[in-house]
Amino acid sequence: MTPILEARGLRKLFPLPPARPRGLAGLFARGTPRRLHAVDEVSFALERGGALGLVGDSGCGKSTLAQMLARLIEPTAGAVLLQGRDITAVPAAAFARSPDRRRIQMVFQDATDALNPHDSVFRAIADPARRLLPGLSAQALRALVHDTAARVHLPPGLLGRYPHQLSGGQRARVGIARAIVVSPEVLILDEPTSALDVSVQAVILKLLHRLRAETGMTYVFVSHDLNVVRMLCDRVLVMYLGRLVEEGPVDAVFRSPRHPYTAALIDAIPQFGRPSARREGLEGEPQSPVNPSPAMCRLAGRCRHEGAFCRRAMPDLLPAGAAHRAACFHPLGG
Amino acid sequence: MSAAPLLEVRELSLAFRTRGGTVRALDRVSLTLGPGETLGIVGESGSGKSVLAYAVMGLQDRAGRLTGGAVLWRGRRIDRLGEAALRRLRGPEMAMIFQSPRAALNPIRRIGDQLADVLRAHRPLGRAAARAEAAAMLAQVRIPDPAARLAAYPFELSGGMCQRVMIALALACAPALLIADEPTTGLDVTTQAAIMDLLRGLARGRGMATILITHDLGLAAAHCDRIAVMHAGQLVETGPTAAVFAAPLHPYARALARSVPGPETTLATLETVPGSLPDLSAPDLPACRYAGRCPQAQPRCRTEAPPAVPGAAGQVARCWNPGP
Repeated sequence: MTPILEARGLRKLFPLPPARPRGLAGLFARGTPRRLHAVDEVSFALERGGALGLVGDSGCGKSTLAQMLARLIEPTAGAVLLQGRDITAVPAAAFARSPDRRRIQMVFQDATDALNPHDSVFRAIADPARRLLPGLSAQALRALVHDTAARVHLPPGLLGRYPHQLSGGQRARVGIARAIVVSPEVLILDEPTSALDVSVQAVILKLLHRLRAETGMTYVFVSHDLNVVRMLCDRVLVMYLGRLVEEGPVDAVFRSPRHPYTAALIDAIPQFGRPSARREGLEGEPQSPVNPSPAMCRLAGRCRHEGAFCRRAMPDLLPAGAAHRAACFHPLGG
Repeated sequence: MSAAPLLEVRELSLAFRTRGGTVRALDRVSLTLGPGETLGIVGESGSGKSVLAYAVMGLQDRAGRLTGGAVLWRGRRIDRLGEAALRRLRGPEMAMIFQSPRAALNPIRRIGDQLADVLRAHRPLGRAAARAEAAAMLAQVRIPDPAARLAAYPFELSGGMCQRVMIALALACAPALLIADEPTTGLDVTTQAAIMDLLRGLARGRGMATILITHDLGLAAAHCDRIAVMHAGQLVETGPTAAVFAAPLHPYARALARSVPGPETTLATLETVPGSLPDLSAPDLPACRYAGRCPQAQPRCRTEAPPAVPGAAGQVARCWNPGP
């Protein structure tokens, strides 16, 4: 079966001002070009109806990857395939008017920033439907907005309010409603609960789970909270400094992580009754994401399992179990 | 408790006067902290955790006013001290680290100068001696190559490194109490673990008491001896960490503990806290401010202040109808 969403060798490099020598010489030197490698050679495929978690420290490129998948920013190289069709063939700006725009939608991190403060809740939800579902009568639009609001448990009385009059949880619901109002097939969620209190987060997670069960939507769920990913997703993708370091079924990755970075990430989850006896802590500071060496593992220098090869070549993603891949010369538990 | 407590907060109430009315941010909060103890204050945003910590340090802004109760430091009242007396207390006795380390550091001064400022404000040190001491402090918070980092500006350091510098600043005068207000929010999970290990190690080594303010219950559970749960400006439950998490008595503490995703939690067992925080400027706040959200609320929850009910494992809840 054709995967619903596929990434092939996705890269995003952000150019930085070139490094020039200090002083007068700097005015005449051309300087070394510098590029920040936000996402580097990421490939994976996602089956219809699945839920993929995307985890990693901030700056690992997970949000950049999510925005490329949602076709909001242009990749430097590589392609995104929606049901086998290359949607990166169309420029991002033109994609906004393509019929495929409706099929892949995104929920943003902080609903407070993502909502226009001048738009009422009704307008915020109606706007994507107006643009992406042409030919909708005013009456049908009204019904659709009311129906969508009901599906995310937003009382109809709130539809006339403005974002500042809503609680954090209500704003998160509006953010979800405006993404699902056009019945997308793929929903990219970028840390949808990280701005919320745990008590509210629990409600939103249950809502997201129910929506997926009802509609069969495919989720890509970006989060730094591994416990949340474990609950909501069936597969997980672990990123470190732009590279995909491990991918596999949630249970397998959590039970027996193969990449030392994944192990450190799981070990760092604060847990009652297990304070500081960490087995897999990382040492030191991460490498710079600017012009990183292409022939070296990005975790080198922080990893306790480092061997002679780790600074000579970039490890490939290799099978590490059923539907489980890891990019490490010294995989754990192997 | 045998030894005199280091810090005692007695029935402390605090209100903010705003255009929208008087916000009663703290309502008769009581707690004690012994030397070397680690206390976690948890609750939703808006529950008054930070306000309480600021009040202890005497840092509340001008709109805030203590309306009752007392704060005792080593048995002596400090809630009425003037700014000069408070200043002598802050640093050698109690210190604080904040949520966004980069914002709390001066962006246009070198790290070394900022550390030296603090040292020289409290101790008669020369320039060279202060510099050497500053480098030693950076080494203590495990910053690699400390002598070179003295010349760095905050923007040249990562978030985790800035928080290490903040910790070094706070510990410069070897305080007996460190208040850490969401010290790892905004940091990565792996960095968070390293910072918390560092804080714990330093606190143990120095016998320093710590108050950890956090909305992350998992973090508090992993790192604190005792937990205080706050809701809408009221302290609803305190006790040993294990007791508060495993056998909470107060319905809010129970709901909160079960709303945290743990390694065994599934969406089916994940609980939610009903309703939302009440408006603290409302004139008719119920006596127990959780009454409007509580599935077990009784009529008297709204009219009479709930009693302190002790539990079997040392926890104490303020509730008319505490659960098992």
